[in-house]
Amino acid sequence: MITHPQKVEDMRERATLLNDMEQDLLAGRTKTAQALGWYTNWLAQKIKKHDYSKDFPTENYSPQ
Amino acid sequence: MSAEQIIKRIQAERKTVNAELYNAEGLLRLQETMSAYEGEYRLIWSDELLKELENRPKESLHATGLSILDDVIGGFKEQQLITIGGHTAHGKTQFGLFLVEQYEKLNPLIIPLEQSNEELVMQRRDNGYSIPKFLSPRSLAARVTCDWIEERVVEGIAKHNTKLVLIDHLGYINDFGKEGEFKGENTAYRIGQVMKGLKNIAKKWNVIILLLVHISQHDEGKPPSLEAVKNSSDIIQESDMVILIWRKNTLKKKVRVYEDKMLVSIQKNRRTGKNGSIGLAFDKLTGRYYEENDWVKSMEESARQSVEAEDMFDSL
Repeated sequence: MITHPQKVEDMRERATLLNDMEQDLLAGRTKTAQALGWYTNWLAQKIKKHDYSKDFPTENYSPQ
Repeated sequence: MSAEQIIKRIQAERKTVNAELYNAEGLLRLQETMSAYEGEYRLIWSDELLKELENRPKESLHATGLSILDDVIGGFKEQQLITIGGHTAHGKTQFGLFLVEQYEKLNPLIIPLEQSNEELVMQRRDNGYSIPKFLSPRSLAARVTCDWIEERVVEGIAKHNTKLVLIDHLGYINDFGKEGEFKGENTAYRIGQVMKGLKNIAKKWNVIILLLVHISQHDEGKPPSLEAVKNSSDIIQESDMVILIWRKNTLKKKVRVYEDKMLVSIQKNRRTGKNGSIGLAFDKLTGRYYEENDWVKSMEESARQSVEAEDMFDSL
């Protein structure tokens, strides 16, 4: 598998979260930004370490 | 850390994440496109391929008419690039012309780069030999390239359904690429490109190409081997079959005396993997070859005995 769709989905979510965090901080909503920060870091770890291939329904990709 | 510093860090992080996301989304799109790809270059399983081959009408092999040679090679077939190598004056052109005569039904085309078509015809006429029926270009381009050869092949196919092309010889094809991109490259590289070009013509236009090549100087008294093929390993690599010819000769008082016997040695045979040597004799009356294998057998026998004798000597 070159790229797992779920990994791309997680990357997309993280990009959105970082954007939201920035907006929250600019608006002075530090508590919300902090909560988002925790989740963003958790997602970063998942993207880095999680074995996405295990989530993949392999039977769809076996020959014939 | 101040809020400003945190925002700056987040902005930098966001930039990196967006770049990574851009790449990952591109790969995912490619992956999705390729998983649905059903075009001409799609990957297929070997069992599917086998089924397809079994349903295809059987390919006919074109026999040379020389029974021992046909036993070894099974005949030539379309899309093959066959290289015939040999020393100067060992009969490459004559053997090529002989094959052309054997394959008259394939409406052969000769690209005569060493000797002109006029010389070929006149020489055979003056010697009283049979003149094979072949097509050849009225005149040659100043620089013969693979594209130029391809145009002649297409003309032959369009006008006369040509199935066999004899090129005499590789050394005269001077191809620097479409835009001169091979000009700065060395000879071996350029020859490699020419070989790929010729193989491509054979496959694209479904013709047999017989390509004559020179071999490097070595002891003429012994039959040559693949290492003697000059200039580029691509000559052997790109060929479907490599045939080396050797004219029987002996050195008598520093003068080399040639006989009218020729060894035809199949050194590479991609289709069947079968190699072997056969003996031919040249008929001076007709200018044609016929099989005469006894001298080859005795030569092989004496070579075998000398190897055995060397082995025995080594084991002592």
